[in-house]
Amino acid sequence: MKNKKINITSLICILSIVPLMAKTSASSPTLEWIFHNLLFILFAVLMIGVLVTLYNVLMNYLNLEKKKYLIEAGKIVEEDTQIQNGSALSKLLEKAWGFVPKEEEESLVLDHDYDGIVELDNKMPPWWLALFYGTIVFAVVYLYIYEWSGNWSSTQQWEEEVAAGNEAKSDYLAKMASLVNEENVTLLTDPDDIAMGKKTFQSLCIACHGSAGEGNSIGPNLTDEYWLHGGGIRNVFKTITHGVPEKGMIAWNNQLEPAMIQKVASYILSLQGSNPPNAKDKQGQLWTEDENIN
Amino acid sequence: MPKLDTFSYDDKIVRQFAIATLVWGAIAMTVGLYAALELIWPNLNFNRYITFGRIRPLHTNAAIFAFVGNGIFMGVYYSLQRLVKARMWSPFLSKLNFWGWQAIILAAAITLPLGLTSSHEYAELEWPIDIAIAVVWVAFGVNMFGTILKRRENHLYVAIWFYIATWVTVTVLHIFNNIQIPISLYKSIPVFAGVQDALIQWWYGHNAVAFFLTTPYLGLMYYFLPKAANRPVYSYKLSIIHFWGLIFIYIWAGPHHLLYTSLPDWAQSLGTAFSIMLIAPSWGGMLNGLLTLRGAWDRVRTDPILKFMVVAISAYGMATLEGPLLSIKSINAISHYTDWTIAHVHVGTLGWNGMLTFGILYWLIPKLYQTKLHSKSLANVHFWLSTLGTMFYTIPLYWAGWTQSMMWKSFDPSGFLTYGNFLETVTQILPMYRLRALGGLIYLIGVFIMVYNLWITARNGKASDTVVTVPSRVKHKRQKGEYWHKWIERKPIQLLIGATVVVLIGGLVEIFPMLLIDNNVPKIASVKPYTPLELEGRDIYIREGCNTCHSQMVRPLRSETERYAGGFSKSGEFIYDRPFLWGSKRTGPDLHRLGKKYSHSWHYNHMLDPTSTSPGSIMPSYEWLHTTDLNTDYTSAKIKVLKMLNTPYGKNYENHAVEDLQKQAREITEVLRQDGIEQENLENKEIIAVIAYLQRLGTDANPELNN
Repeated sequence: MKNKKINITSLICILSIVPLMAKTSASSPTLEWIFHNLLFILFAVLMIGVLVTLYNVLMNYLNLEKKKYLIEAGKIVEEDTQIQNGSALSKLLEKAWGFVPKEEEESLVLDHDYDGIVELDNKMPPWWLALFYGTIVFAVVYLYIYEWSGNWSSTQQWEEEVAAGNEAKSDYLAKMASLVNEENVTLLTDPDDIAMGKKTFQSLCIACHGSAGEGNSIGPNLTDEYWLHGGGIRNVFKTITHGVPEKGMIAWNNQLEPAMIQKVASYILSLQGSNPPNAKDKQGQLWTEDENIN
Repeated sequence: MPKLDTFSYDDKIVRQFAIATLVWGAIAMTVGLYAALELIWPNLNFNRYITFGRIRPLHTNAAIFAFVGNGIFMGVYYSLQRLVKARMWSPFLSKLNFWGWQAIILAAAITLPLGLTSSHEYAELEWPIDIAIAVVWVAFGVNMFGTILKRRENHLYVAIWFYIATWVTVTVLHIFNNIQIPISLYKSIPVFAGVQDALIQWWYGHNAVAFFLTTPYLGLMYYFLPKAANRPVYSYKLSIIHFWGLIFIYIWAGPHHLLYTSLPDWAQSLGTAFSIMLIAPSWGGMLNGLLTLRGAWDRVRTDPILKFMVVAISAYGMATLEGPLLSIKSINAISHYTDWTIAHVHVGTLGWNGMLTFGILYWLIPKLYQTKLHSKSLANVHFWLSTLGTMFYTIPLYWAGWTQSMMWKSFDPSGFLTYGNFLETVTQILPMYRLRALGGLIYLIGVFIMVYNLWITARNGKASDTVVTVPSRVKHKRQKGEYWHKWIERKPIQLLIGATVVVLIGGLVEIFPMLLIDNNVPKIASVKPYTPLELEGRDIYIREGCNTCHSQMVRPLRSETERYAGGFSKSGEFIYDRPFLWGSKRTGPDLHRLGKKYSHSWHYNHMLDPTSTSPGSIMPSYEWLHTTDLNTDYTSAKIKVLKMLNTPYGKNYENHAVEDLQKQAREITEVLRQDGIEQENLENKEIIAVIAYLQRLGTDANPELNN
């Protein structure tokens, strides 16, 4: 009876704390973090607790078995076992498991056997029952939070995550002053920049443009003076950034930051007139820098 | 004094199922090893019948239905007869069960490599085989109930409760997940589409794990463990509570396979909540098993049978704690689509199902052949190989799953994906795939050692039925102060009805609102049915098992909407998807936003040789798509059936569907030609249909792409 009362009280406590935390979470980032990871934390604690208990019990058992052997073999006397067995922890464990001493097991045998299998009338381990009740409480609270307390839909979570990501991104870009765009982009000539552009080109672009930019059945030759979407650093930068989806050119702005696209574009332009072997025939318009400045 | 009956148990059928378990087990795991090697050496995909996309379903089906399935029948036929003290009711039904089941497995082994698949995971087999499964399964059930009804015991032991729940639930699941309209002998179209199809499939898929890999094996554990340990079952009350708790709660948990998908949030939440509540009932089985060994632990150290059983039960405990944890959304967001899931299920199958089956076989075969086990030390070697193999299999995959997921989600400070190229995250974990294959090999070697050991054992023994003399049944009188549950243990029919009601509740509550309430799937005006060519391309996608490695479900997570630009997937986009093709594992990238991302020629070259466009790719070449003519014989039949299912094609559209198909094919071929791809008769090849389908994927929700 007493146990039941305690169970119910703690149940109510847990039930009231969690929504409370959800409400306050908006104000404090620490609380918010705890709440967002509540499930994780709860289960980490639970799992560790359960594993430790299991381990203890198994070890206890192996010890008892060992002692039984030693006693049978006459190597130690019975009292030794009793003394070691009386610790507070082992008492607590006995209680958590609800074990009946092995000598009294006979009294628990149910008067039936199935093909020689008999069943004992042991009570369900109290910790197991507590776990069962606990998970039911958890499930109710979980459903309440996710379904009725609002603010927890998948879409909403996504919107918040994206907003936070975008904010961090623009903060960073502003800070790094790496805000290169198609209006202000310039051609780089520093060999280090060109080398970095080449590295990226070699890993991402050669499938469609060939390892020397000579073009293949998919993409055009990048080493001649003819351009499908305009030559010059600004146009090349723009083409790489936004792609030309209808022609199969991917927009790279989700995979490369502007400063890197600038390097790749500069590397590509450094290939002008390199005349690689197997170059693809010219496509598009002849590009001359001066005529097209606008 | 009741009169004594002398009769014999039908042990021949048990021997047959035992042999089938051994043979199919070895085959299923060999196929699994081959599939694992294909991921390391893509060249092993050297012809169309053995690509990973077709072999992987063969492996899972063989492991679940051939190995574990025969294991279930073996254990049930042995234990049921002894627990109710009666010979199997109908020798005819026993034979039908055995030979029918083997024929079904054989049919699966032939049709899956041929690419005949419905694409529903663990329910891939086409409709004629589905019907055969239903017939054989019902034969098994009738035979089981016939035997139970003429029992000489009054009460049904806990193992039998599990057998009954298994039988009824698998029946319901199998039928509901295979409601299809046949197009031909080899092809059918599911009645439900998109989200609804997905929910029913995972209600099935999850409970195939529950009621095919778990409940029957718990039943077997309740018989064979106390027998092998010669100890009483720890707690009768625990048996009752965890049995009813398990079968009631398990059925609700299916949606946890669809967390963060387009499934409505309420269904996802139910899936999570019930998964958490599942921990205790699952662990009830583990505790009752392990505590039954109380007082027999000294023998666990020396007896290989008990060793197998203890590790099996521990693996069960680990897998059933991990499962609920993986159902928590924040953890699922990490684990889903990665090898973490593969590791998780192999703890269950290699550990729980495999090891328990091995333990039972080592105990049972000597009994069935009235002899002693040929070699205990070989059994011990097998035990260590199994344990090591399981660890070598699972640990690298946990590592791989975690690593890959972290790479998928990693952003650099400038807000870009650190690993924007999906392929980088694949090549990173290839070493782990090698270790996994090694683990599989170790495990498999153990299995072959067992097969040898048990074969010699059987050869040294003598096969004959066990004859027993037992008292006939005396009608039980209700005793005073008897536990309430004793009543239902005397009433198999009431137990069957009770179990049916209990398992149906969860399914009904989740599935019916999805089918009946329209606003669970908000319509999107721009979403239109597939064109005939795209439809044929989609069926090739299904035939080749593309969905084994590619998902079509962009989750509402920033890392995904960033990688797969075009917004996360909405339920309204899938209303014409029969079947749904969301997939469950990303060995390659998600494809739902693939449409219009690359040119036709990119796809043409990629399917011919994936490494030409994606150096280092482990995807096999699908060169036969470029040389095989597209079969349009069933196109109009497909359109007709889809129209019947309310897909808005115009009146009599089936009559000019093929015409439209050819027109679209010519358009695509023309674009390819402009890109310099010349091939004779190109417009009639399968690759054109595949390109049409891939270019359509996910574009309807982003109409600006179609301009």
